[in-house]
Amino acid sequence: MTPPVAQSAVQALPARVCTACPMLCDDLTPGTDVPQNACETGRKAFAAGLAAHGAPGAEAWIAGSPSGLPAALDRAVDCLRSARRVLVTGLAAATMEGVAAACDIAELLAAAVDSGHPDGFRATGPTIARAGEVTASWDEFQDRADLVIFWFCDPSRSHPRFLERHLPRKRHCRTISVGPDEIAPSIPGCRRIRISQSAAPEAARVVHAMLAGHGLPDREPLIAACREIAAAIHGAVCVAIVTVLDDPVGIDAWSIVHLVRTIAHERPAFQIPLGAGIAAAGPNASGAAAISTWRYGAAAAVARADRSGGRFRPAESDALRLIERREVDCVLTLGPLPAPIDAALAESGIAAVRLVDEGAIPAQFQTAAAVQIACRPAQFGEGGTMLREDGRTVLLEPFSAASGRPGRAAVLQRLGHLLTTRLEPAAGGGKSP
Amino acid sequence: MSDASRPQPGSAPRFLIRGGLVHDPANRPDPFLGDIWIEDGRVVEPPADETGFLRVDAEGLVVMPGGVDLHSHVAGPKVNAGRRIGPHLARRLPAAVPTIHATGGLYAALGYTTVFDAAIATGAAAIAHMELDELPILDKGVYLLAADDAAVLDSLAKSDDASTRRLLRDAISGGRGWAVKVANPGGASFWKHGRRGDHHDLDTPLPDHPITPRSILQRLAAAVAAIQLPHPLHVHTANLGLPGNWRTMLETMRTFDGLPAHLAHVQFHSYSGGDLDEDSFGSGVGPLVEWFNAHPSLTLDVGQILFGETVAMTGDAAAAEHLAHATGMPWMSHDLHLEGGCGVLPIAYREKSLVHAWQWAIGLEWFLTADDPWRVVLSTDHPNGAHFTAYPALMRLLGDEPFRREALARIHPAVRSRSPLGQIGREYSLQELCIVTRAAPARIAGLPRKGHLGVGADADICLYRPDPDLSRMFALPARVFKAGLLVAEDGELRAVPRGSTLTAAGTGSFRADAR
Repeated sequence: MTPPVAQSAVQALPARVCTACPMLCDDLTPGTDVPQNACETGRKAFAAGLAAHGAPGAEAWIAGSPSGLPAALDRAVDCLRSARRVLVTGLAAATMEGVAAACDIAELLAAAVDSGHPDGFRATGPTIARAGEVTASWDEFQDRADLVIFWFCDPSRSHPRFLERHLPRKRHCRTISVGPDEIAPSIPGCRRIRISQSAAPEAARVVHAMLAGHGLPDREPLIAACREIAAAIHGAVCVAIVTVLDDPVGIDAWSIVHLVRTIAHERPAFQIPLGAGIAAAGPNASGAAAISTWRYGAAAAVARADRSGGRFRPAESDALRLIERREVDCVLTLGPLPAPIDAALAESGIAAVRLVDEGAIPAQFQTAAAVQIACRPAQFGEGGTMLREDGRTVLLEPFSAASGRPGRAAVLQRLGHLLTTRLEPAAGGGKSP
Repeated sequence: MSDASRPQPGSAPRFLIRGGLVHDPANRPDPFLGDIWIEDGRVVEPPADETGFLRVDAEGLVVMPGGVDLHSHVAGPKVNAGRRIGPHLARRLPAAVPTIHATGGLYAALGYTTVFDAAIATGAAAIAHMELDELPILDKGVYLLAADDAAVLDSLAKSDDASTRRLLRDAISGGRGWAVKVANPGGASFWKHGRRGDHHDLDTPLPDHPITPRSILQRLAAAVAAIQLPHPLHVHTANLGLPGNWRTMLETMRTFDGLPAHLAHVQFHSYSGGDLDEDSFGSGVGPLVEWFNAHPSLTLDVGQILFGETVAMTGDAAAAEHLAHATGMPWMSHDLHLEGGCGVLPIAYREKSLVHAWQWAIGLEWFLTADDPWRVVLSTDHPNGAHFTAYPALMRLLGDEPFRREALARIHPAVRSRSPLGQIGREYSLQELCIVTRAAPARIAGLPRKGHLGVGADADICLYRPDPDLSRMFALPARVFKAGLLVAEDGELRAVPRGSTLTAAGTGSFRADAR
């Protein structure tokens, strides 16, 4: 049961894109109610957004007390200006336009920036730099693959509509699910091959060795399971290996990239590396990483926002480390944070300027220095651009029957303008080469 | 008239560049001592009333138009992948693939004021433009890889020329493109639907369309000419990087049969070797340059390699896979739906490597044996062959024969003995260097206000200190003006204006209504 829509303000809901997670499903049925073809997470997000839309409530909160937007922006400027070192994070909640505005602020303050991309927290460095990645867009996967291997993952849990929307349509497409007992995508005819989670890198290595004709370890029954996988690959025209990111160290990612690369030298093949899905901190994780990369040269964990090339410190300058070590004394976050970071921030007592979805209850971070500003969710915002997890550009239409509250991009632009006018001219970052 | 040796940065004053040795090959065959008058960001006639014009003393300096990089890779998803795939290269100064802001600053400090990204997938055009909007100082444009679009391939396969023209026109308008690029004609189909490891010539039918790469080239070139894009079809032909690919390049040139076409990074397509040549890997430039010299409808950029570490990136996924497999380097590849894809990997060019030494010599052989500098563009296919900041070193190799001989002495001995480079005494003059870095790329790209200093030209102007060391001279312009603004002085940025985005739809010639 979804809450009623504030019909007085809403004639028709043009939103076709769901911003509840980075899948950015762009096939929502437009109408005057919550789209029924959204997943449960999407419907909840849509309903919450509609319920908050136009509902009375504060524009912002300062130290837990309701406030008007101008006062909150003033307080936010004070917090950011007085900090010795600022961290800008939670970028995935905003559109590309909002992320750009947040990065402008970070450059003004010479702040650290963490988009939240896995490059920043893998202890051993970015996988792409060690092994590369061989990938395809989701639509390409759907069109071409005739063998899909779900590698220790069940996308239906992390990306509820992924199988419905993107599973290949070829008549003779085979699907294989590799992993422990509890992993089983609900696909008719899907072959189950049981391998324990801890053996995932070894399984990739064994299949790789079989395909490359290398020697094999003496490890039955792993050998038998891998032989079946290798035989399926041998018989396929185009192989897709679907993975879901759950690997803070990078060994699993490294091993699967090598396997895909070996297959791709023999026949069309690619990996479909799904991200955090509904567990992600925001829908635009890929867009945030893209802007961070073209501005600072790294997807995340940038020690200092400098357009001529930020200092990239994976596992050193990610948000969690910076907060835990008290290396920052003010955090500007554009949206929700992963639970460990949220907890660390609460425990630290570090000043926070948070942009929250309208309707969100400011239960946390009611410290003296906390500022929270209510923003329209991206789905009901001023429009803009996001990047899906596979890099496809998704355009959000402006929501015409808008509430009086601004979107994140607008708030950040106003904040940036206020900071620019109040900061000393010499205080800027972003030096030229 | 006021005397002002240094116009204030950040403003576009009326001013006069006085007494410099002006190289303006588009308007004068020889350099001359003269004055350049500037107003509202353009070159103007000497005014009747000189009041209010500042004076920039250029006596003893060389004056040239701003550089135009016709073929580079500066923005878009694959460039971003290039930034991530080599963190060790990102820490260098300059980074192998600089940030978008650093790219603008470094180009400007070098005297370049216009750049084109030569390979943007049509589906990635929006995000690429978002990034390019943050590229400071330079005017910029993109070539769209529309030839890989499924609908375009369908129309080509059906010989439906009207649909091809309409689709290209729509792609250029929607993607705000400047030109159409083909990266390995039909290559995306072979990559996605063919057997890996197979190499195809121009007459091998595509696995999923009843058409050959040769037909794709012919029909695309005709369509681009029909819709009157400012720049002809930009051609990265098949078999990039493979031994014996000089034959593919020769067939490519023959295919156009009088149609205008621009041949991209020819160095990577001029190798002898393979099954059909007696010797192993070597130079196939001889027959290619002979054909090129005799066919004025063709133009080219060289794609010179210079020794060092860099990142290779291409819309030709098969070429990237071949290179990745040969080198074992980390390799990034992404296939796009209804379009092509891309490949990215780090690469190191070494003097003592036989293959790399040949590549170096082959690029220089092209420069030094092509007769007409007006049809030749200096490029390294940044960052594929080398970083764009290496252009001054390349200019010295072209203009300083003793320096080139010293460099030749350091490379692999087999190349020293077999390459004709040692027997070529040609040296590019400053005027010729001005042609291949400014006048020719502007003319070939279709930029009537760039690459020259005549009345009406954009006031994109460089002042250089003459120096027998051409590398030092071109690496550090005394001053660089962009649209009349002083943007760089002795390598330091003085202003960071926004450049313009160059789109074919913004030109008079593009036939948006072509049917």
